[in-house]
Amino acid sequence: MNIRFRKPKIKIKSFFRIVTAALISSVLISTVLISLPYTERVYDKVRYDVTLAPKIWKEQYTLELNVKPADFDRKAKKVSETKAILERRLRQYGVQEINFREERSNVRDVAILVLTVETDKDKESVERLISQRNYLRFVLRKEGVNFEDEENPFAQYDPANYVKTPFSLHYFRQIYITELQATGGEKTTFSIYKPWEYKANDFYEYFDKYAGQYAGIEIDGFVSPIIVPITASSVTGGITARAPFALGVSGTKNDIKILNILNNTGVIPVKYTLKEQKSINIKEFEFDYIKTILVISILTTIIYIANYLFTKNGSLISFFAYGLTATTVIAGMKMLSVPIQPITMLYTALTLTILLPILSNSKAVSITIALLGLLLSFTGIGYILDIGRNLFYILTTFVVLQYTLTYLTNLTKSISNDD
Amino acid sequence: MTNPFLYYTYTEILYALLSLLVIAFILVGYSMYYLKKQAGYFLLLTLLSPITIAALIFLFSKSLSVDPGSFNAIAILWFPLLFSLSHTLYYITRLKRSYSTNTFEFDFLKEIRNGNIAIAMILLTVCATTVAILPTTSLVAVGIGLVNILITLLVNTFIIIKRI
Repeated sequence: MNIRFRKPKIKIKSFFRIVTAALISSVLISTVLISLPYTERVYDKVRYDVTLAPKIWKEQYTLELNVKPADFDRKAKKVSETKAILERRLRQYGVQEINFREERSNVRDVAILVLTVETDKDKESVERLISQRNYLRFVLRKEGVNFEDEENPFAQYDPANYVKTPFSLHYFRQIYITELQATGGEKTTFSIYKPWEYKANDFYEYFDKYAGQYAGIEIDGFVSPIIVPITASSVTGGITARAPFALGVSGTKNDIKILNILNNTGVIPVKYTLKEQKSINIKEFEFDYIKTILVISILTTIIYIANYLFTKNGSLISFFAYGLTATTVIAGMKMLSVPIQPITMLYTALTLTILLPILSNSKAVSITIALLGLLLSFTGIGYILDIGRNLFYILTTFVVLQYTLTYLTNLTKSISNDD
Repeated sequence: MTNPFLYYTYTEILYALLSLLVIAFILVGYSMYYLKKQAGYFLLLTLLSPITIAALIFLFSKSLSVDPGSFNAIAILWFPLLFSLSHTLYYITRLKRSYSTNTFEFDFLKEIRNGNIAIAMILLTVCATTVAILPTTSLVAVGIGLVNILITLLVNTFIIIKRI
């Protein structure tokens, strides 16, 4: 018997189309599954939970500013500078709402500043940024003081045991915090003191004499001992090439961020104390994940149908893309453990719902609003900054998914034609 | 009346003005690019309505018992502003599409009328739904924001029909 095998005819193009369509579909289905609530009940190997951001809190701080007699004529200016620096510090840390109010003071050398903040950022850190003046000054050890005295272990932290140098925070254009390789080879965080160009020589020449010796940095009445680094390395053609004046810093990432903000947002021109603080009650937003998703989904469907019935605009692809965008963003946030602030997400969802009839019909408008969102996420102030960022991510995903679904539809049509 | 300079810091006011400038730039740029004419300057009037209403609400916030800060600022100012921008941009792109495809049967007035009815209905649905999910303290501000959007919708329609 003569058996003949017929060589199967494989259409390479068609094969790749099927594989691509299957891959895209499986990715989209996976994102939908990950975004669903209670995924841990069906799949116990990996947890896909929504990470919630800390709760929003609101607090009022009363600061008493002590103006020096020499500054009486410039009291208003000093208060204004203090406000500007405190605001800069809090903005850089990401505090959303900041409000200042000046209270009348009958005492000539005192000004009262009431500061109210509303944020979801770490409370302890925010309070450190508000209450710490951070007036930094280099100090040298006084002769005759026993810093090794075991009976007085605090001798090295006491400013009375040090001589002040002229080099305060005013002397530096920047205190740059970065990771550098330490002598042992491991990476350590250093703060590099960069004096103003016209003051640099004074600073370096002054400390060159003390290189390798103990000195200190006094901040608000407390001294941190340091060893003066060796900065003068070589002189070529009259120009001194220097190693940076770098001092090691330790602490968590958050501590280093705060240190960076305190050192690089300006010098508060007056001494001040935190006189009073009181918390202000804000209505807590009770977030029901399932209820909110259900309501928004039903709302979106109604809007889509109403929009289609009245305008005959809006394709099925954009409708699916809208739904898939929501699931993709939720899945992305779950997988990357991005903290979600429920009320911010809800306002973003409301913004998008209001704009839905327009965005679903025009990619150009979607792209423009996404770009505007990106801009607001850099330049915005308050909660619009967070909402701008959300708008950018969501609308970019929406546009990409619209193109992906159109591509997928064309692909399936081509596969059908191949058959 | 609420004094904005006591309520907001100078940085906040500066950033708000910069944001408005960017939005105005987008409007003019869109109009110049899509319609090839300088209708953009008239289209800037579409931004006046949401800003003026939001400013009035801010000035009389004490009488209305609305705190104009925090998330309420998003509802009162940013919802209408983003809506006004998107609405105007959308009709500019629609007009451009009808010009470029030579669809003579395209009835702009009918299109904008139907579109506005759909949007108005959608706003009412959104308003009803927010009661179910939003905290009661934010409801007044969202309600005011939606009314601002409705007024903006009417003003925008008038400007778009008359000027482009």
